[in-house]
Amino acid sequence: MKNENLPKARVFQDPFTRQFVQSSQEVEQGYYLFESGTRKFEMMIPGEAVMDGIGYSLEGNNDYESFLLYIYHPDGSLSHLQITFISINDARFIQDYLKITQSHAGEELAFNKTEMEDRDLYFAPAQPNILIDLQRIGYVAYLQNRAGTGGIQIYYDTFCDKGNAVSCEELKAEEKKKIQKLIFSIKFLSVLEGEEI
Amino acid sequence: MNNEWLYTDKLRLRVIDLEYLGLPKEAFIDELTDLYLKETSMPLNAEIEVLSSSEVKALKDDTSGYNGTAIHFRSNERVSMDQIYIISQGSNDINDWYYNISSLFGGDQAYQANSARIFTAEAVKTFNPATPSLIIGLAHSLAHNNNATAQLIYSEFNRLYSVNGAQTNVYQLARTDREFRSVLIMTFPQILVDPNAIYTISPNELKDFAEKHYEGKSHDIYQVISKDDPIYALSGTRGFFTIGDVRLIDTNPERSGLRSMVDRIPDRAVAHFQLIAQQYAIAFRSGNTRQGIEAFTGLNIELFSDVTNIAGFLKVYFTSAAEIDAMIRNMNERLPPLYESLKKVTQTRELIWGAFLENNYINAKEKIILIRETAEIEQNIGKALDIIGKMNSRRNLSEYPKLPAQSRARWMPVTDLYYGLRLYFLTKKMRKSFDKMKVTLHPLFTEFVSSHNIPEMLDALERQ
Repeated sequence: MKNENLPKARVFQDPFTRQFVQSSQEVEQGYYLFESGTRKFEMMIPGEAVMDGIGYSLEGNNDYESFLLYIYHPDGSLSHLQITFISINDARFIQDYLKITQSHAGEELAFNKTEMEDRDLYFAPAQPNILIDLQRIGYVAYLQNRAGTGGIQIYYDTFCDKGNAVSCEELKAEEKKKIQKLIFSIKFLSVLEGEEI
Repeated sequence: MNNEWLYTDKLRLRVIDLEYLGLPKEAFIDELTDLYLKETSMPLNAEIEVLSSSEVKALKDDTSGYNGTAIHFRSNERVSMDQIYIISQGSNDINDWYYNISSLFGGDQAYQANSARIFTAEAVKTFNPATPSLIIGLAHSLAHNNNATAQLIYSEFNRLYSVNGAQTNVYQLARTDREFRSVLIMTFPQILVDPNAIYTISPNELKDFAEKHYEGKSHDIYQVISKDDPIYALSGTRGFFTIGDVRLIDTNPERSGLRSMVDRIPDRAVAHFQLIAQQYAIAFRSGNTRQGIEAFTGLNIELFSDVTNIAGFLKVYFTSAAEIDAMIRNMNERLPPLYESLKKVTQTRELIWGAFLENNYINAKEKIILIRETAEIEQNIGKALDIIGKMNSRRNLSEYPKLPAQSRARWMPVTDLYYGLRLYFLTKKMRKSFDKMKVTLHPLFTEFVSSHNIPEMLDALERQ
């Protein structure tokens, strides 16, 4: 992509984040296609998002990737989305992965399972939390590939100002929709490329 | 009677060291029984089971580099002596500086930590102890970072013992521990809106904050650290904080001050390395070092892989013009910013090698050699960049005369080849400088590696 023709969205303005965005064409309004550094999964991300570049981590033969994405919402609230991809995760050991996912959340979670065509989603709302003048609402999820190996831990926290007109509580349903939209857009790529499973 | 099977530092160190041998199970148990008797003058009165991470199905295709062994001690006499030890190697290869530095500063250890957790869960399932066992983690080197991080986030172990460990890291925990990130945001609200903000907060403030936050989870972590361990020397740099009960031991009394030397490196220089490491993560994301180097510097190693002499160089020059054109363009674009970074390091040469002399790591003569060769390298890279710049502008077709008869042919003047040859000789000169530095520093590096490894620590404990 040539610099001068880039859209104004934050994902293109930040040179680190830009490397992961496949095209300057929107997938749908406000969303672009993000390809993992492992090249083993892709997903939609909002255009108004920036990665923590220094914290970005890619290890071991492209089998592990972890990053933190800051998402800026039009109403001024902000979400932190943390994604951890582990290529060797195998559906047979799902209970271990759910335990690990929960332990980073710092609270007990009740995962709700949704079976999709070739992957399973485990999704749980996190407890709302008050951080002095901020409120935090969050969702934690784990997505397991069934058409091959690969699993993704997902932590999505939205922070809103307690003084804001729109309270976090009111945002909850909408935030749930937003994160589910991103999760449902995740595609594991190993099968599509015809690699060995 | 003691409450733990491996109840002294020496016992634990010998078992960690034994684990590194990668013996078959039977032999491992025999050796373990043997060393227990030698060390305690008591027979090991326990049933022993062993599980290696390589046997665990869930880790079958694991590429994290995690290696571990779990030992289950079962006693028929005392229920409380039913204990599981998880010994984690992490990376033993201290020689692999790329790996160590990138995992310490740039990347993170979370992948290995994940494998370590799966292994621990599997060990408990496999041993299926009648009563809940005490789970004790033993670690050396980078594996301490895994164990301690697991301990701080979810109290995985009942107790941890580590030797010469890589310490826990604030930046890493800020990403992986959701609760910690939230409390950080409360104190440092700038973290909320700007992903780079955390790297601009004073590292000491962050360190104090993390130590306080995790205080309640830091008891039952015991560390023995060699003052001469190079990893210990790095533990004072930005992001790292040390938890638990720490015993510092001077394992190499001939030397001192490596940590104090590193502590004198200004934080802004380390911050700079952090940025370089970030670029590395992306440049090497294909997992292919050659491609990584090309992405990072523009240098196409493949092209020159068979070149051993000037004839080989000329052959490549005349047969791979298109590739060379592309390479020159790429290098001209990517190298100058890298050179600016490098210069920040090389220009402190008097200071760095002076400190090495002051602390008796090198003698006065070696100091002169090292300063001279560092300057030489810097100068030669500067010259090389200059030449690359000139070659690049020659390749810029608009400034470049075309042969009238053949519109696609370019006028390849003798000067271009002359520049190419100069580059070739400069590269040779730089290699010579590196070799001289390597020879001078080799004995010192060997010493650093020894100070990181377990036998030197054991010797020091024997002397006490």
